[in-house]
Amino acid sequence: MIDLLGYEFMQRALIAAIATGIAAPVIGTYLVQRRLSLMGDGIGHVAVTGVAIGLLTGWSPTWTAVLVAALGALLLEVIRERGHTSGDLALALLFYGGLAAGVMITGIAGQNAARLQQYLFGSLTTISVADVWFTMGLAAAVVLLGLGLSPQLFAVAQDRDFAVVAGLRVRAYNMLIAVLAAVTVTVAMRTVGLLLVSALMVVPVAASQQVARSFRGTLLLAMLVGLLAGVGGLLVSAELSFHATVAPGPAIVLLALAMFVLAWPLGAWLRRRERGRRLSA
Amino acid sequence: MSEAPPVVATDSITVELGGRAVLRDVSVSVDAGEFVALMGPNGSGKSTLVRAMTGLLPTASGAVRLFGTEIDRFRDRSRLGYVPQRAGASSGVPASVAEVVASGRISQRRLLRPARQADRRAVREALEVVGLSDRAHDTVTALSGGQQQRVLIARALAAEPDVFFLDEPMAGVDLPNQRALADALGLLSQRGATIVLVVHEIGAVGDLIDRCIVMRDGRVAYDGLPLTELQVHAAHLPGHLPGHLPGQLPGIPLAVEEHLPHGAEHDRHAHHPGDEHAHERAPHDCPPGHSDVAPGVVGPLDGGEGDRGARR
Repeated sequence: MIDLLGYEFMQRALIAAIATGIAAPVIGTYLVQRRLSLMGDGIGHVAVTGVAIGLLTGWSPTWTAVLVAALGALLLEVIRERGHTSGDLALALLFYGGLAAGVMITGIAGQNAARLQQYLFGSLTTISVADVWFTMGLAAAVVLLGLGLSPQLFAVAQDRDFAVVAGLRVRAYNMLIAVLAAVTVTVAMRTVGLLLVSALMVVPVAASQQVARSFRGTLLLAMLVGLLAGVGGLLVSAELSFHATVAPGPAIVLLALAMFVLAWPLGAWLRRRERGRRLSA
Repeated sequence: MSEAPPVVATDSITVELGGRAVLRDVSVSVDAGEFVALMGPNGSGKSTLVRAMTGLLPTASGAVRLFGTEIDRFRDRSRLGYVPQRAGASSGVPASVAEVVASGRISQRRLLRPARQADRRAVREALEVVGLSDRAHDTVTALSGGQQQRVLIARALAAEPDVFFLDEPMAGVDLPNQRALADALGLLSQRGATIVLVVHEIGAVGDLIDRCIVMRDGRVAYDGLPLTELQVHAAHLPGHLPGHLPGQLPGIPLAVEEHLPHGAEHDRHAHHPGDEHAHERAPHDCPPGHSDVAPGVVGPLDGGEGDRGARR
C-alpha cells in the first residue's frame, strides 16, 4: 500500500479523493434536508452533456461540465419554484435529456464510449495536475460557502415561510445551493463519476443522520464518512487492481453504503435508549 | 390612539389565490401591546390575512403597513415574529431544538460570522420562556407535536420581536401543551409584545385576549371586544349577529343563543367530548370589565377573577 502511494498518479488521485469526499456531503446535507436527494443525480446526468460538449469543441470537459451542470441546476430550481411541473418530473426530464444528449454529442464528436466512461464512472488514476488544482479549488469553495452560510442555508431549507418573513433572500439561497450542487457534481466527476456522484453526496448523510442528533452533527459526521469512503475506496480499488480492473468510483460508493449499513442498527439502538431514558425520567 | 403608528395595518386589502379572491376589502389595524385573536371557520381567510400581514402573500389591491412602513419597504425584519401553521418542525435531516430556535436569530446574524453572545443568550431565554430548556440538544422530531409547536414559538421569540403572528399554534395540540403555549403567550403579552393569534377555539387563551376579529368569507365579520365561543360561531354565520359590521362594538348587545340553532356546526369544532360544555359555559373570554357586553353569559360566572381585568 505504501508502495502504491509512491506513484505520483496515486498521490494525485488521493488528493482528489480527499477533496471530493469532504466537499460532496456538505452540499448533500442541504439536498437531503430539502428532500431533494436525487437532485445531484439529475445534475450529474446533465453534466454528461457538458462533458460531451467539451469533447466536441476541444474545450476542457471539466469546465463545460461545470457550466452546463450549473445551467441545468438553475433550470431545475426555476421549474421547482414555479411549480408548473412537479420537482420529481422535472428531475426525470433532466435525467434523460442530459444523458441522451451527452451520448449523442459524444458520438458526433467522434469519440468512443471509453472516453465518456472515464467521466461516467470516474477515473481517479488519470487525473492531471491541473485537474487536481481545479478539484481542490472548487472543493474548498463548496466547503467554505456550505459551512460559512450554514445558518442561512439551514433556515431557508428548514422553513421557507419563516425565512421569507425574516427577510432572507430565499430565492438567492436556493439558487446558490443549486449552483454549489452543480459544482460539487463536477468536482466529484473525476473521482466517482457522474453516474455515482449523487451517492457520494447523499449516502454519507444517510449514514451520519442515523447517529447524529443535530444538523451540524449530521453535516460534520457526513464529511468524515465521505472522507473515509473516498480514501478507503481509492485504496481498495488500487489493491484490487492487481487482480482485476476496479474503478475507484464504485468502491468509494460501496464503502459509504457499508458505513450506512453499520450506522443503521447503531442509530436504532441509540434512539431506543434515548426513548427509554425519557420515559423513565 | 397615541401618535405611534399601528404595529400592523391593512388598508382595504384584497388577496387572490388562483384568481379567486380569498380576502376582500379587509381593513384591520392592530396597536402596540394588543393581544388579538383572529377567528373564523375554515376557509374564512384568517390564515390568509396573517400571511398577507407578514408579506408571505402579495395583495391584489390595498396596502399593508408594518410599524407605519409600507410592507415592501419594511426592512426591520427582526421586529416580526412569525409562527407558521404546521404539524411539526421536521425536515429531511435531523435538527436539534437549539438549532431550530437559533435559526430565529437569522435576521440579526451577519453573513459568514459566528453566532455572538447575544444570539446565544436570546436562544437560551426563548427556550426558558416556552419551558423547553432541558430539551435543547434533543432532535426536534423526538418531541411531541405540542412541544414542537413550542419550539416554533421559541424560534420566533429568539429574534426578540415586537409583534408575534401565530397561525393556529393550538391546532392538534393536547391540553397540557395548550396551557404551556398559553402561559408563554401570556408572558410575552405581559412584557409588552403585540400578538396576533389565529385560533379555532379560544380555549386556553381566553383570559389573555384583548380583542377578537372574526372572519367570514374573506371579510371581517366582527371586530371588537372578546367574544365567547358561542358568539364567535354566531358571528361567522350569516344573519346571526345583529349588524355584523366591524368596529361597532361594544355598542351592539351581543345576543347569545343558548339554544344554538347551528349546534351541528358547533359540534364539529368540539374536539374534547365531555369537556365541551364546560368550555362553552366557562367565562373564558371577556375580562370582567367587559361583562356588560354580553350580560348574563359572562357576568355571573366571572366574578372574583379580578386579575384578568388588571392587564388592561
